[in-house]
Order: sequence, then structure tokens, then C-alpha cells
Amino acid sequence: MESQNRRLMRDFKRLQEDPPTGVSGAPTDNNIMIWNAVIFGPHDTPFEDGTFKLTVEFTEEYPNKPPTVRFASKMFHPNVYADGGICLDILQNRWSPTYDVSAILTSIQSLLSDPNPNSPANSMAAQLYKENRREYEKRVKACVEQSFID
Amino acid sequence: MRKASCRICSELGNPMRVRETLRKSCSHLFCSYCIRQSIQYRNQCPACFAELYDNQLRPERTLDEVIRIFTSVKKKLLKRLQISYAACPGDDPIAPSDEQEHRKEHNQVPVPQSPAPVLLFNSPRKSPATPQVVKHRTVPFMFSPKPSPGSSQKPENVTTGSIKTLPCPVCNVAIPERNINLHLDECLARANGAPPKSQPMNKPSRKPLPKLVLSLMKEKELKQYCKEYGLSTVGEKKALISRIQRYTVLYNSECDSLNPRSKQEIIRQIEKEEFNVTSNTSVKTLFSQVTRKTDPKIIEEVST
Repeated sequence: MESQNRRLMRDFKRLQEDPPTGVSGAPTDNNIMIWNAVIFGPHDTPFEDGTFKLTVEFTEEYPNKPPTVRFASKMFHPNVYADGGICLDILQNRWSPTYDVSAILTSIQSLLSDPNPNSPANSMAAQLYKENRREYEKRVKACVEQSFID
Repeated sequence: MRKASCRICSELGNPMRVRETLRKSCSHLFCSYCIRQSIQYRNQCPACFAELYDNQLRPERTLDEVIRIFTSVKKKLLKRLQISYAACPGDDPIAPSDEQEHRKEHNQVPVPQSPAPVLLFNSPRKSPATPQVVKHRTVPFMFSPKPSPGSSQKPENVTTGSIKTLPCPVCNVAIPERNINLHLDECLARANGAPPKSQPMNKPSRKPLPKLVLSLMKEKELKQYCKEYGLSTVGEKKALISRIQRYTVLYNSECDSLNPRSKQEIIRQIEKEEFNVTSNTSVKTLFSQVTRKTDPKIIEEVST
């Protein structure tokens, strides 16, 4: 619908004019409802230097319903499912129509630095994060290197 | 003005929605359409997650009026500012920021004496060549209390030379002699017409439609409601429900407007939207032209 497209264009404009550090995104070539985004791994975390690609899919009900956000790059993180789906409260039950794309991307970026191992989407990652931090960081580093390739 | 815009669509003057700003108990602002739409999904304030129901929404008429005035004078003001900048030969063509102004003052850079309109933007202290001005600090109209929108265009009357000023008998602001009559007229008009004209409420205000539990109704009842509202009765139960919901949101948000659109217009809009969704035409193709390589100007055009 028109009002919704207008809102998406506004999100895009805001993301371009006032880009938060370390994230970027844009609609795909032929569909404004599907966006590609990139999040750079935050400094001083094992994700540093990684360039992680995501897809953001909006529905007709945006902004009253959250978009579906998925990592396209391989991820090793306590709150990211094997298929790239993200377990983040603001993308589910704490969603509010006041959030825009740049808010979503910065939230995901901060999720990278502060995982929540108590609601794990990847139990292996959560366990390593809690019990064997060194091994966790090693696995994450492998992910970061993988992100350069794809 | 950004603070006054809707937190969901961040727009000010969209004919469909933003004229209307609503206030609720936590006093976050939204436009009527957006908040009503959002409440359909969840009964909470989108900004603070406090519980929220339809009956807590209040139209914010004062802000409504401010926005109306702002949008009507915005163009004029911008144009006037451009003109006065263009009229300053020695000045930067770009609007001087406060920072620049301060820097100039501190460094005591001798500013070339510029013709009249500049006075608005250069404080008199900066031009050492005209010490008289300091003594008779004139107050251009812009700085008189509560300038009305039409009264900001007098800077050319204020000259940098020595001018006699008189205190206005009404508001006590020093006014250049030649402007005193004009100023007095305005001042008196303001004093007399002080009590704000209350909005004439002669128009019978429209009553908002009730929220119905549509999912529990039978198709027959739904069709009856469609007929009552003047909507098309074509389609399955799901289509009927979404049509009635859409109509209720649009109708109720129009109720909050000072000049609500007619029922027919709302119905026409819904029909058009349904047509667009089913045939995937106009709107989508327009937006699908936009890619990340598109010129920002085109994006601007499409999004407005």
C-alpha cells in the first residue's frame, strides 16, 4: 500500500542521510519489500572485522508487524538459528511501529556484542559462550573469516 | 518541528493523516491514522508500551493549528530568507550558522558595511564603523513579542544609519519612527483580539464508528455492515472483515480532523487500494524503479 511504501522510502532515506556506524542497507533492485543489509562486526568483540550480510523482508503490514530478518552469511552466535533467523525480542513480541530499519540493524549489531545465552537459538554457541569462552571465540573467528568469502 | 511529527510515519503534513495529532495519557504524539492502525494490532503505546485504548486518544488541536500555520508560512519564510541572503553581497551565500557568527565576533573580523537587510543577521556590535547603532539598538519586527506570520518582512526599513526610535506605547519595544504606525496597528490588533477565536463548532462532529468483533460474525451480518457503510459486499469473509476494519480506521481518523473527508472519498480510497493490491499496478511499479543506485532526487520525488 502507498502509505507503507512511503514509510519504507523514509526508512531508506534516513539510513542514507544519517547512517549509524557499522550498518548499511538498501532495497533490492526490483522489490522494495526485500532489502539487503550489511552489519560490520563491532570493535572489541570476537566479531570484529566481520562483514555479515542479512536479508530483511517486509510484509504488507509493516510497520505494524516487524519484518523478517535473517543472516545470509553463516553465523555462530547464541541467538542466531542455523538457518540465519534471529531470536531478538524487538523482532518478535517487543516490536513497536516506531522502530525503523536503522533501529533494527543497530539492535542486531548490539546483539552481536551482547549475546543472551539464556534464550539460546544455537545451544552449542550458548554453551560455549558460558563455559568455554576461548573455544567460542575461535568458532566466531572462523565465521568472521567465512564472511569475507561469501 | 521534528518533535511535533508522528513517531510512526514521522510526517507532518500528509493530507491523509498528519494534520491530526493525538495525545494520550502518556502524551506521546502520533497522527490519528497511524495510532489507530497500530492499536488494531496491539493495545499499547508504540513509544512506551503502556496500555492504550481507543478512548484514551485525544485530538491535539493546538498543535494541529501550529502545524497548519507552520506549513502555510514555511514556503514564504524560506523564500524570504533566500532573498535576504542574496541581497547581502559580502555575506556567505550559505546560511551562516551560529557557530560562524560567534567566531566572527570573537576574532573581531571587520565586516564590510553591508546594506540594510543584513542587519537581521549581523549583530550591530560587529560593525565598528557604525557606533550609533549600538546606542539606538533597534528592534526589528522579528524580535517584537509574538510576531504574527505576516509581520516578519520589514528588515529593509531598518537602516544602519542613525534612526530615531520611539517606544511603542502598547508593548514598550523601541520601534523606528517610520514604522511606528504600522507597529502600533498590529500591537493594538493583537491586544484587542487577544482572546483566541474559538473554533466554531457549528459543524456537527462525526461520531467515531464502534469497534466490532468481526471475527465472530457470520458472513451475512458482515455483508449487512458493509451495506450500511456503503462498502462493496463482494468477496469472502476475510476480505469483508479487512474491508470493514480498514474503513473503520480511515473513518475514525477522519473524525479527528477538522475538515474530515466525505464517506464517499474514503470508500473510493478503499476501492482503489483493493484494486491496486489485486492487480499489482501503478503504485508498485512506481516504487520498484527505485534501487540503491537511484538518484536521491528521484527518491525524494517518489516518496512524496
